[in-house]
Amino acid sequence: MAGAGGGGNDVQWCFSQVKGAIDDDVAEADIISTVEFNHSGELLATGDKGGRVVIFQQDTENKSQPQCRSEYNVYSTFQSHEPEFDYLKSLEIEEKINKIRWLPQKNAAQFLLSTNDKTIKLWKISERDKRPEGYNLKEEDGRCRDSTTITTLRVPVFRPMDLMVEASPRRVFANAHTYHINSISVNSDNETYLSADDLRINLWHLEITDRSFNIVDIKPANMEELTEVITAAEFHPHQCNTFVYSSSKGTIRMCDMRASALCDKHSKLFEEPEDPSNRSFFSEIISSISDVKFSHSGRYMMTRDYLSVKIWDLNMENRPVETYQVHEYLRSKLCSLYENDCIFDKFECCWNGNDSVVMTGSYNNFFRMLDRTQRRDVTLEASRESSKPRQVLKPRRVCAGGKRKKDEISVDSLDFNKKILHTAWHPQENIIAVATTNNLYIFQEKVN
Amino acid sequence: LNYEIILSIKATLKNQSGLKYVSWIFESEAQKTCYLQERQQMLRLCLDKLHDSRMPSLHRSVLLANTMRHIQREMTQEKGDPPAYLCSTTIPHSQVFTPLCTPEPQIQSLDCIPTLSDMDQGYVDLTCSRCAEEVEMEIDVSFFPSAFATSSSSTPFTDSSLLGLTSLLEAGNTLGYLTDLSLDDIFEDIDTSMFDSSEAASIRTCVLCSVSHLLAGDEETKVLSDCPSTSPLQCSHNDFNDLDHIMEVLVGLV
Repeated sequence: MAGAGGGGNDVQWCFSQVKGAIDDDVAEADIISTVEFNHSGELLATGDKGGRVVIFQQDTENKSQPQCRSEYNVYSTFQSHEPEFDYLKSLEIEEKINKIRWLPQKNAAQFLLSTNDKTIKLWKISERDKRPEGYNLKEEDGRCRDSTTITTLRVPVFRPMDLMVEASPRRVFANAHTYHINSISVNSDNETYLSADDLRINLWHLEITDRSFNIVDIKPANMEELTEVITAAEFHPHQCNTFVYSSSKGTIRMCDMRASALCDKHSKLFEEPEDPSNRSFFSEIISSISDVKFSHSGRYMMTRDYLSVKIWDLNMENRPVETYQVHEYLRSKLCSLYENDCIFDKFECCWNGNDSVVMTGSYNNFFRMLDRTQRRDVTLEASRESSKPRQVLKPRRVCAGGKRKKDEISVDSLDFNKKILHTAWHPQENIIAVATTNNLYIFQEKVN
Repeated sequence: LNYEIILSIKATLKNQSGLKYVSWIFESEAQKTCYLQERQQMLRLCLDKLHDSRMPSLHRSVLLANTMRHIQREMTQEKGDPPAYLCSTTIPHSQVFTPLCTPEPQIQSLDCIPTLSDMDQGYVDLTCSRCAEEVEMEIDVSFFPSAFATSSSSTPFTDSSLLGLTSLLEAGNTLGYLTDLSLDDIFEDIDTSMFDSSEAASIRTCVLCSVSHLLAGDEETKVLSDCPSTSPLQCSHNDFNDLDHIMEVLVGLV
């Protein structure tokens, strides 16, 4: 089961479900901007450009039987962020949810952090399936009873009711970021978390909203000297003092919070020397790291730049231990991708439960599974055409040039408006969530 | 590596404030190369994208600015001497070329940045439709062959003040004249350290300053080199004073 052994290529992936509107006319607010499983995998949260969070819950009734496929159904929907207007700068603050991160579950309720460009909110999602009945002073519908008519007393009892899922904002962490927040990451100590914008990283305590600690500040004294921004940041999964942040220049810095209050000096700098044969005008732009993720083990981290995925051993700073090309056929098309701004797209990446396979998105609604142990990779597509129940996904191939074989698609036919930027992998099982522009596809391992 | 720079047109241009200034136009006989074309295209796209306010993003602005700087560095490294100006259309080189850009006070004028082609490698096509449309010029066709025709080893400008003029004009264009500038849009003379959009603008300003840098001869860079650290408005103050002086010098020359 559970992503053991293979994962990428021994596993055959089947369509399970698709969520979202069917019609091609995409409403801007429905564009999915983040996808995240919770720590058990039972809940799957998506955030969209309209500031809404939709949480799906895995149907666990048939889980005991391995043949049955578990489905994800809508559990809760709520408006997390609203558009705001910054009057001082005359700027609109988008309500788009940039990131969602779940907190580990401590009690019956679930907690998640969701953030837009400026404000992070802690949401509590709780269930209510019982309600008290039999009050003395009021009727069931709420009307007050005339106290003179009461002759006996009774004790109200809890009776079952239809399940109601409530989401309530418990904390609002605001006014700490001048620039746009790109990452949030919950610390393994379950008490603190970090939020990163283009130039600064702040450390928060989950209970305290009126102050945060600035732990990284790369803003130069003279803004005109700015050449590098922070693109992503994450806490180490086990070491609560360690975090990393990636930059637009393709470097990753690892910092130890025990070293000093302001972690401007990194303890490790991960950077691969540039391959001079690949140098072009676009070298810097495509080297910008769009996502960084620690492996579950905490031994490795993965970075995603425009054309590749790199796996780094935390003990080796001068080069990655593995490099995978996501869509090398785009290297010759960089000029047109620059013209249509696709070169600035920020793709995310994710690990499977046992760190043997990594996944990332591409264009034309393609996504890539890169098997580290077997050194093999496969390209799959999330499309309505391959959406029959339990339909096995067929590997896709892109023809870079020359003769196009049957079943191959040529680079020039790729739809660059159909991009898969956000993907998530269930922490234990081979279930993946892939977000196209406005649809969420759930694929599962084929079970015989 | 031989080339001849022939000063073919002296044009009197008017900017939006009605101030007349003189700009030089040349032609080059060198061949164009694909690489230079692409580089120019890149530079132009960088500028276009930096001006595009639809997607304000510090990350994007920084990447674009760095790409531009890289191209500029490459261009300066290729020539040890201060570059000459070249702004040509696709018409054959023997004919008249469009002049340097209209000195609009907005940064947009840099869309038709003069190409900095290597004199020894070629000129680059740069269609300045904006120039063609908007400039009003009285063309005085004059020739200064002996003074300005050069060999590959020397600069086309023997008079650094000429360089300075055009570079200052460019700087003036980039940084804007006082009166017509919509400061809210482009520059802010208040502390901008807190503001996203103006930071993107200041990156643009810096980049554009450095572009002007590139166009300037060494002697004149001291005016422009102050720009990154001073406010853009102060730069244009300096420009004005130098402009007057150089006008006198030029008029005397011609």
